[in-house]
Amino acid sequence: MIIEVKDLVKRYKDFLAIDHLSLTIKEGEIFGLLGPNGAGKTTLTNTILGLTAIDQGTITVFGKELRKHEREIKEDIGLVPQDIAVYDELTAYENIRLFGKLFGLRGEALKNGIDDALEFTGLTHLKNKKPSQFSGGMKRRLNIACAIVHKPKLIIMDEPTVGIDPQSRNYILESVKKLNQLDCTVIYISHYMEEVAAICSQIAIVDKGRIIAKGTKEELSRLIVDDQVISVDVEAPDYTIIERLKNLHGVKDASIDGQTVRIVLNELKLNTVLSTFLEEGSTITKVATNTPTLEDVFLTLTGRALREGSR
Amino acid sequence: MREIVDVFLNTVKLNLRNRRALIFMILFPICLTLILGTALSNVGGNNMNESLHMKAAVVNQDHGIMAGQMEKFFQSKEIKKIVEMKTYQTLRAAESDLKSQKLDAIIIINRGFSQAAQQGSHHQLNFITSGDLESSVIKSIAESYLKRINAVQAAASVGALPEHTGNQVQSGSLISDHTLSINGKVPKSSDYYAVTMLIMIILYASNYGLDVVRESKKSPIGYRIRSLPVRQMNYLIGKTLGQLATVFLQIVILVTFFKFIYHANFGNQLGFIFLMCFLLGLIVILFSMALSLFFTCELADTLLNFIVPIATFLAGGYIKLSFLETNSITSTLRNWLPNSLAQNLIFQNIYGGSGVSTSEGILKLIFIAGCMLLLTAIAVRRSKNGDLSK
Ligand SMILES: Nc1ncnc2c1ncn2[C@@H]1O[C@H](COP(=O)(O)OP(=O)(O)OP(=O)(O)O)[C@@H](O)[C@H]1O
Ligand SMILES: [Mg+2]
Repeated sequence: MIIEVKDLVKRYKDFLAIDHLSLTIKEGEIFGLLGPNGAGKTTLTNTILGLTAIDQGTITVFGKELRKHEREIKEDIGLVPQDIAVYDELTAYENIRLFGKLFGLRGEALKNGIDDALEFTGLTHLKNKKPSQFSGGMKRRLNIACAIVHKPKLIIMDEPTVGIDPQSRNYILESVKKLNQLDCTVIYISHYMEEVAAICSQIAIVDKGRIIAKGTKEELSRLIVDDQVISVDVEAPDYTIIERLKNLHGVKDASIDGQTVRIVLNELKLNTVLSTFLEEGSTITKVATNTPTLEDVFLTLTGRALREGSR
Repeated sequence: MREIVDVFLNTVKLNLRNRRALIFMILFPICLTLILGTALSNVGGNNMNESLHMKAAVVNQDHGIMAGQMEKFFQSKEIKKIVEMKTYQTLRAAESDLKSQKLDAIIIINRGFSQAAQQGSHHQLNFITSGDLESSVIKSIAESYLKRINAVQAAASVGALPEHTGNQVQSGSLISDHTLSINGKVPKSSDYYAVTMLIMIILYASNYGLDVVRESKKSPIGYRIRSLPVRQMNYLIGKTLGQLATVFLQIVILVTFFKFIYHANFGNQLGFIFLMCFLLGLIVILFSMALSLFFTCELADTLLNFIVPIATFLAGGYIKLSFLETNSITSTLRNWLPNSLAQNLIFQNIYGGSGVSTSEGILKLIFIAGCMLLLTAIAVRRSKNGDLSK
């Protein structure tokens, strides 16, 4: 076990940010932490790094108790912060060198570490440029490079792909996989289902400081695998339709987003569903049936969309 | 230790690349000095006489020939242009006026002064001073006149100056000679502002203190540094020392400019001036760190934007106002305001005089620096488990 968290509680005054959370992460995993804004993902990360005091529980990292071996443990962890944390006044090379030095690297080890980190993130040709001249994606990559210069055993990436172009995003996802192949355990925090589904071997869904589901992508999908998801696009949908749909036998969940009404069914009763719409006098413009995605899993488990404005 | 050095060097490097801050710290005081120095030199004949308003008492307890000469000198037109001299009959009367800040200095001609002078044995003027710039100036003028009068006396006694008859020293020629030696004794407005603007800009080093807290507590970089196997205290020490070194570098550049290009009078002991600036810089940086840790960076920034000009004003940095010294509240404040203390010690070092005992002044500054260090340490401790999310 690379990380063992037992019965963790973290409060901010009266607010319960982490609610009796237990979690184990095995070595060699790409572990996805999925959850909406404010779920407590970053807070969980902070507790694992000893950056914030906890109210209850124990944390063991690399088999050592965090509180007693904090410094030692930190030497083998690389954190990619959610916000870009590099000096604008320093070049890419200087940034990586500085953090490498602060990880205790010197001489050859430092030089190799910098070169590898640059190459790994595809920034070698930009090493003498300052981040102010970088695109958002390049900055994100530099943010990662600064966290891998010391070749950590565990790397924690807190939403490393926020606000970047698809190309950079793919580049980062690929490099996470490559890192993992180099014996690095990765904790990948995101609220993008697709990312987590694409690269993670284990996924935990976090909401309100708790883990509400955990498993591989397949295991999680199986939670609602017998279900069918239907999206019906209608002109001017009415909220009363949701109530009516929910009252139908076999309908597990119904929600509305813009013109799309999303219905999770236990058994396929498309006829009843569609006739309900017609009875309401709605004009159906499109009907689609989907196999459930992680997003649907989340929505069904929490009743809320993972990101505001998504779906 | 390594961490401290790494953070220190990186901080200096970052600061040297921050052109805007550098330009502000160096060009701002230079421009202000040029403007204020020029503006006042047009009004007050390039001497600070107008704004200095020096007032001194002469207490003649000797009544001998030499003492008479001295008194005459103090009453001469040339001196009256610079210092308002009043003869007091008793020391007590003069002392009470000094206490109520009506005087800057008392010059005492001790009994036996003239006799000792004529015999060529040890004789000197005694001073009681209020400790500000004026008293330093008065003291050094009086002393330099005495030196001169002694030299003439000596020359006359060996017959080298035939136009002087006996022990009668012709005061007129001496006084006209003396105007030369006033150079460097009374600060020109450019000299004055070179010092006060230097002191003022060190107060603006508070920005560097704020920057330490901003980076360590509020920025993603500070967050990242916490995730590193680096002791937070070492990082803070390295960062603070880096800021201090940057400020010191700016001081060296400014003093070099003022002394060698602007030809302002900085006296002969640059080491002392650097020491004062260094102590003040340390105090300012620690103070602004403590302030922003106890409150927020924004509030500290706002407060400092008020404090810096007020402290500069109180020290007479923009304009020398005598009420600042005579008012008991402002004069007490000035006695403990580190910028005012450092400024007075520097003036005293350049223009002579020992109104404030130098060692007492330095001890005060070191004491204040120690308090600030303690305050900052408490603030750091207190905020250790403070909030961080980003
Ligand atoms: N320093 C703090 N003081 C008070 N509340 C905080 C603090 N830090 C976080 N919180 C609260 O704790 C909760 C969890 O925050 P956290 O940053 O861990 O969420 P997150 O899952 O990382 O969200 P996001 O996806 O937006 O990054 C939020 O409701 C937040 O408001
Ligand atoms: Mg977060």
